[in-house]
This record gives sequence, C-alpha cells and structure tokens, in this order.
Amino acid sequence: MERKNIVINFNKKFYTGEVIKKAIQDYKRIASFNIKFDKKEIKVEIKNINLEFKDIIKEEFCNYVLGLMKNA
Amino acid sequence: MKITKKKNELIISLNPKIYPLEAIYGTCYIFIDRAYLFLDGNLNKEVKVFLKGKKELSPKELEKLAGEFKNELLNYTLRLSIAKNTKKIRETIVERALFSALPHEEELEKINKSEQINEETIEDDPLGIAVPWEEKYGKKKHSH
Repeated sequence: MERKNIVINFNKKFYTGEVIKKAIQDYKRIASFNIKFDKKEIKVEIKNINLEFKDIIKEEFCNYVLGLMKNA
Repeated sequence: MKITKKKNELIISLNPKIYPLEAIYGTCYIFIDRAYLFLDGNLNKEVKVFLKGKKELSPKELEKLAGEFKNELLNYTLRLSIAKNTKKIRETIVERALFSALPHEEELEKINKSEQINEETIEDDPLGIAVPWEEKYGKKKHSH
C-alpha cells in the first residue's frame, strides 16, 4: 500500500457530489477515500492506494467521474 | 478559445456562452480513452479543460490533439444547436406518424361492425362447433 495521499478538488460547478460518491463506490476496492464538501469544491482524499494503481489512480478517477457526469 | 501548452498537457480555456457545458462534457467524453481530462474554471466566464495525454505526446502530437478537440467541440456544439432548433418539427413528424397509424373513423366503424357480425355468428353457431364432442360423437346408450 502507498502511504502518500492524493487530494483532488472538484469544482462544484462541473461535478456533483452524487456522481463523485458513485465513483468512490466503484473505486473503493483499490484505495480508501474521504470526501469533504466545501462551499465551492468537493475535496476527495485518496489514501491506502494499491501500489499497482498509484501512478494512474488520480487521472483515471477524474476521467471516471467525468464519464459519469456526461451520462448523469 | 485560448490554448496553453505544457509538457504533455493542454489547458483549453473556453467561453461557455459560445460552447455550452453539455457540448464540453460530450467532447471530453470522446477523448476519454486517449487523454486524462479535468474541468475547472467559472461557469459564467471561462471553462478550463485540462487535457493530458495518456501516453507521452510530442509537441506535434499535442498540437494535433488540440486541433481534434477544437473540431469535435465545434461539431458537438453544432449538433446540439440543430437538435434544439429542430425539436418542434421532429416532435410534429413523430406525432403525425403515430397519428396516421391509428385507424380512421370509417375503419373503426367497419371494425365494430365486423365484431358485431362475429358475435352474432358465434351465437348462431351454424356448424355446431359449440356442441360438446361427447354430445355430438359420444356412444349412444342402447336400450335393452
């Protein structure tokens, strides 16, 4: 497991909490997630990342959320 | 539209009044298998699309990707605009097609009449179909 945490700030104007929660559900097997709602942003902290995915998880997760947004 | 080039990454700034958010989502979705995409900015002023190549891209390839993104965005925006402008006429065509598939009054009368005839015929039963088999062909009881 990777110790380094990743934080992604999703702008609320472009991403919804509902969609991000759904993405977290789908990704929960490869890392642990914390979600925090600010006034303008949704902060997602990713930790305990499976080593196999540590280099791509941030970008792949963002793509996955974007894909869900398009179909939402 | 303003494009900032970084190493293996593009930042495309778009005017949301020209390119609707739906078109931006749609275009990003098309590139999802070739690039990593992220949206940020201000919905009323400027939408920023961060586009990063999944594999290492040369400046030439990056430029090509930017060009393709711009074309696709324009294509998507135009399609949305056409869909919006022709919504009414498309609805009318479908309505008419469905309406023409419905039977007219004369046909309805014919159908009603034929149903009435059918009912009468069934009640009459000239062929004796409604007679049970046993009654019609069953063994006759012999009296000794």
